[in-house]
Amino acid sequence: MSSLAEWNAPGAAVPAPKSMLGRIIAVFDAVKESGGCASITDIALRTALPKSTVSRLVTELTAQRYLSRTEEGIVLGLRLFELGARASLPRRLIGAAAPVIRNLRETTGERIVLWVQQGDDMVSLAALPGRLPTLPTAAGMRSPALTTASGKAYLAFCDDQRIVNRISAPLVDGAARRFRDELTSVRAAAVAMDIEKSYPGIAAVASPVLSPDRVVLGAISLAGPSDGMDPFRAAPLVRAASVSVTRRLAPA
Amino acid sequence: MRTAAWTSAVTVLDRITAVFDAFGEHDEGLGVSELARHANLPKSSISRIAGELVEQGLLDREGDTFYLGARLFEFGQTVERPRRLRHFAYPVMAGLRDLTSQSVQLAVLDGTDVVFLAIARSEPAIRPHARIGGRLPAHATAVGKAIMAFSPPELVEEVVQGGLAPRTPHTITASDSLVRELLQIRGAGVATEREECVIGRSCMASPVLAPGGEPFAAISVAGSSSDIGGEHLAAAVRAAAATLSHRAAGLGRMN
Repeated sequence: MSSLAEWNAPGAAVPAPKSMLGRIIAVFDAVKESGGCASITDIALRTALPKSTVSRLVTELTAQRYLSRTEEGIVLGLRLFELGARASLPRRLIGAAAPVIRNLRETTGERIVLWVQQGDDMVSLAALPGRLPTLPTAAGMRSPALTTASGKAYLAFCDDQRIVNRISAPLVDGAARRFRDELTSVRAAAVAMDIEKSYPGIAAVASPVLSPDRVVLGAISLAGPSDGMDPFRAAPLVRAASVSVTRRLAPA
Repeated sequence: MRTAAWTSAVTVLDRITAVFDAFGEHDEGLGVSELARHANLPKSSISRIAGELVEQGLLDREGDTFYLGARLFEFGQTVERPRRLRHFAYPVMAGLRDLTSQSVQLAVLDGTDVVFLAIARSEPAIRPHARIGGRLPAHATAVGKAIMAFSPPELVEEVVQGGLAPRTPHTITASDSLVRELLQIRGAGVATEREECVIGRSCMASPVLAPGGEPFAAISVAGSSSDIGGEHLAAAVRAAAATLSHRAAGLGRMN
């Protein structure tokens, strides 16, 4: 019998997750990071868990349809797809933002992405390709919140100081001060920029998406080639798009 | 019925599943008391589990209300089969949508249910009653009947054993009527559902077949009952499914 006590077991020095929930998520992450399909050995390597533990866990997760076994290997199961489709915030945001980001894409011709914050990253909910050919445009992509325009737009409006502190913890004195100053100016402009800092040759502009009662929910970003897209001309368009998403989120 | 004994015997995973399943088909939020009632677990352990799930992003919390979390969306987007099938089928689905001005769905069979993987909405949209990631009983849907009609009899038997519960007064609930209709669908290559799932809505579907002839999905056109029917629409649905079956043959295994 397993006890809930193990949920609160203190984290060990080894990277292998100790709690049952931590292990389950580590297995999902390992499958995702192996390109969607993994063997028991792949998962054991990525999670630092013993193969016997992984094997038991995979059997249990497969029985409950969180994972599925195919000829190629272990893949994420239909239950995760069903649960993910019912996740509230993504559904509400996508519903409100879909026509707005389509319009922004048509007006500017650039790549538009709708993001939410997750851990230390921003995760894409929807992405429309622009003239940048190199970047992937799938939903479910991650990119670091600390350096990207969407991350800074989100963090500048984030009420939970613990999230901001955790994500900015790696910054040392001078950099930490500059980051705080940058967030202050992002708050004033409601627009954040990332000019070639995350990706060479790419400039991005982002604006936070707020709920009708002013809680930050995510961000909309526009990205284009830094030698062809003027971020200061794009900024008011991105800002206007995020304002109109807020308006569309209000109950009719 | 989940009893006190159940509560102490189940694994951590069972508890997590019970919490996820407590959330209904729609994206409404739940407080701790409602979660405890729906999941049939004591409030104290629900608070602890929900807190852990929030920390991991599997649930979102707004004030005292919990929702299924954005991290589930992230994992859900990575699930291989829906992603591959959506990518494979979407251009044909959009084509059928433009041709018919009705919403087009792609679904697979999972146990005795169908799960909708992709929807191409018509505009202006009559909101389709199926949603992406939604689950409906196979016998009450055109996609389910289309898949069953081309599947081995054991599979139909499993659905019949599942009970053929009525969704509307028009749902087929007798096994001999279902089998008769499946035979007819097999001949016609297209299944029709007339308000058997939702009153006022109807649907036509055709199976997408793997090279071996076994169905791995179905494509359907759905709309208000007055718009769905006729040989013209049936031919369009059949042609779209045939295109997908043909393309699947070039791609190897799809599911």
